[in-house]
Amino acid sequence: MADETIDIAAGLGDGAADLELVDRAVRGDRNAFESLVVEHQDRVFDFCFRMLGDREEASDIAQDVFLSVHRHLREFRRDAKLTTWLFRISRNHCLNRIKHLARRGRGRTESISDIDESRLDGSLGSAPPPDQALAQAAERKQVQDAIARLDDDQRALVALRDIEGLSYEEIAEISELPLGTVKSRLHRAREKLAELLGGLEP
Amino acid sequence: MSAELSHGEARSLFPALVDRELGEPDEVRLRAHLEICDDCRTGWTRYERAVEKVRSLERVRAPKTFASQVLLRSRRRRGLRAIARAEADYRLPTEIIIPVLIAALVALVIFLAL
Repeated sequence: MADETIDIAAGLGDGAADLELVDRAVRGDRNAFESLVVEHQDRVFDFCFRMLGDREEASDIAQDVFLSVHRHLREFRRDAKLTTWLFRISRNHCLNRIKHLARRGRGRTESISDIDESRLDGSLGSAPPPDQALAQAAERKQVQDAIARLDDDQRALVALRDIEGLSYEEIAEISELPLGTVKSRLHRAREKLAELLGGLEP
Repeated sequence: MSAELSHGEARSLFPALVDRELGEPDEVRLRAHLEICDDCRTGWTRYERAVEKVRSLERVRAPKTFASQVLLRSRRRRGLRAIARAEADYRLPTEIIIPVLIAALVALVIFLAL
């Protein structure tokens, strides 16, 4: 897990490159802001999708996240990582949206199983045979459905740790929770997932 | 923690084991417990499989037009803010500023066309 976390972090572009883009964007360089969006859009979108379970909602909220970033770019503290800040904004927007949707009684309109293979981040040049693809899609749906059944805080923790690969320290900063609380809540979330997914196995 | 683990102690080590952050002495003790305890071994298998399934999820990518949509919305908001600033600075309501701006634009187009 530690190695995977390092690999994921390295793939994002280093913090110094992000800070340079932030500085240029603050000075009004729209290309720099666009580069920031392109660099981080997939992670933010994926996180929002895991939280909201709906592609359209995820797109709306992820856009709101970047607009919020654009509005508050001058307030970004240079001693923090940009990804930490991005995920904190994303988490807050998603939690607010979930509360809003719950008040309106709106359900989710699209599950991961409705997304065709070409929209997933994978190797497009080596599509599996149809029966294997169906089995993989079914498993993805099971996992996403199980994640959706976690409570909101637990869902965010699972998404940040086990999908985005962030460290516990970063997650504590994002969620503004003590480190011990993050670990114990994540453990309970994983236990619940084990119960939900374990019950589906033959 | 004693040399032999209780069920509770064993399960409390699952997060560290699945994150590969468990020290060797604790891992040895935990694995020894899992060898002899069917319940904990089943619990560990399910826990590990669930976490691995989540970790193997492929990331859902943003739509191809995502960045351009963000930029478009940020430009629109800048335009609205400029109108709001003009409204505040010149103490003229939007209902006057916008038609004046449109009339000025039309006049300019006509002037350039002549």
